[in-house]
Amino acid sequence: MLIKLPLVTLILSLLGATALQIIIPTSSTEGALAVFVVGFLITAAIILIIRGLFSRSAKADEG
Amino acid sequence: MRRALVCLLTAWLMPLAVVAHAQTNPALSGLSQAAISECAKLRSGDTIATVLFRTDRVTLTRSGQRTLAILKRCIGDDAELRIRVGGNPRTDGQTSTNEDEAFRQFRNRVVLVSQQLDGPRLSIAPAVRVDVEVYVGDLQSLRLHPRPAMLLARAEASGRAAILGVRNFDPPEEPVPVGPPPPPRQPSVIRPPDRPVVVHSEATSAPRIATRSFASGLPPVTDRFGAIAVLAFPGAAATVSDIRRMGAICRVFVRKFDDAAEILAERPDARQMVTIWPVKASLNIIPLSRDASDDEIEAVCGDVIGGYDYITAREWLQHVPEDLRDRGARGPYLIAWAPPGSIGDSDQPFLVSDLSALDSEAAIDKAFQLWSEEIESKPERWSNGWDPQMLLLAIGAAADRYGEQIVNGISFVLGRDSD
Repeated sequence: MLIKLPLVTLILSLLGATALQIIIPTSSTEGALAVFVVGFLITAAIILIIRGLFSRSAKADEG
Repeated sequence: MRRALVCLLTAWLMPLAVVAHAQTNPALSGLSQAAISECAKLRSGDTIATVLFRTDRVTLTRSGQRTLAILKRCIGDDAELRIRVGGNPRTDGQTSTNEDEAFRQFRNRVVLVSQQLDGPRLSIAPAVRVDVEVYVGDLQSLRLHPRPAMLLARAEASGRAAILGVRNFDPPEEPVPVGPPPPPRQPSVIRPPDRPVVVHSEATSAPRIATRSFASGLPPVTDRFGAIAVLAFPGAAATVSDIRRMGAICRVFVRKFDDAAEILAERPDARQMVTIWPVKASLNIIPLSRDASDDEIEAVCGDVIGGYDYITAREWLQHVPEDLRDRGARGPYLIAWAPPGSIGDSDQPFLVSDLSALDSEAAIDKAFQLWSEEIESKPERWSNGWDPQMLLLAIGAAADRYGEQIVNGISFVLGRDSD
């Protein structure tokens, strides 16, 4: 699975953070940075959850 | 985390704003079918409206001429349509900025009567200040749209023409008695009532335009308003930052919406979705154009912030259901009702938007833009509560407010000195 690659996870997280920063209007540098960081963390968390679900289903298949 | 996920998904699924389109019927522009049918009941000598201008020239607008043509047709060729032009009541050369005083005094001092309705222009020289009274003969039970006031005349001046005020004829509710015609009546000046008086509102395809007004109390509710809204602050600004924020809101309020009186003059066929900034009755606010200079806006905003009518604002807020407003929120709230006479009626469409979370002028500007688009849509499409775009604005405002702490926290976690 492509999503299992750490680099892909990183890129997707950065993309998610960028998208969030574009969508959410901020008027200060700190605000924009906060949105970017939080967006990065949220996207990374979502991807990790998805990865976890895939891993669990794969193990279940093997079992 | 769940909330954050919802926010993220919401952001990705953000819907587009809907822009309402409306078509107008040029043949009946300014007058409804019902209004035309009422023409038969009109009687000579009644004033349909009074408009005060500060100008040196009056021009009949194109729509005004069209309206006159319609009125002439429906009341017959024998009827007389008059525009009465009066001088400024003040003799000291100063223009009274007190609208009510000007109206009151003007009634007793008509210096010129013109009947040159066939010509598009009435030149009045060398008056520096001129008040214009619009007369249309043969008006009895006038259920006409009050728009003719501004349909008929537009002020022009070499400098800036300021509209000092508008008074519209408010027809009596009782039916017209059958019998000999009563004697001609004196022109009457109608004051805005304390509570809205609803003139019959009918479905119309006229375009909706979001406008603004600095007004004391509730304006008379007529067909010209498609909806009526208020910018309500629950409590007085207590700190310097609160006053600054109120100033930012005022600036956006002025720039984002057109002045109600101005739109009435330029687009009399439009249905105004007017948002009111309530001010104390003692305050005299000169109508402010959207493209006014920064100094003018600052001056007016200083006045309207100091003269904000918190009592009226709280009265409006009491009409909002409890579940749509937070106790202790700093506001302001934008609250709209349609039709305007349905204030407080929970069965009729109303719209509430809470701007408490917004601080920056950019965010407030965006919020007013959303409000403008929402209020200009059909009231049946109004939606309260969960608005994805308002949610994004609130998230952005929170990020601005807590951004520094978040960045410092991250720096701390990463083991770096925040300084």
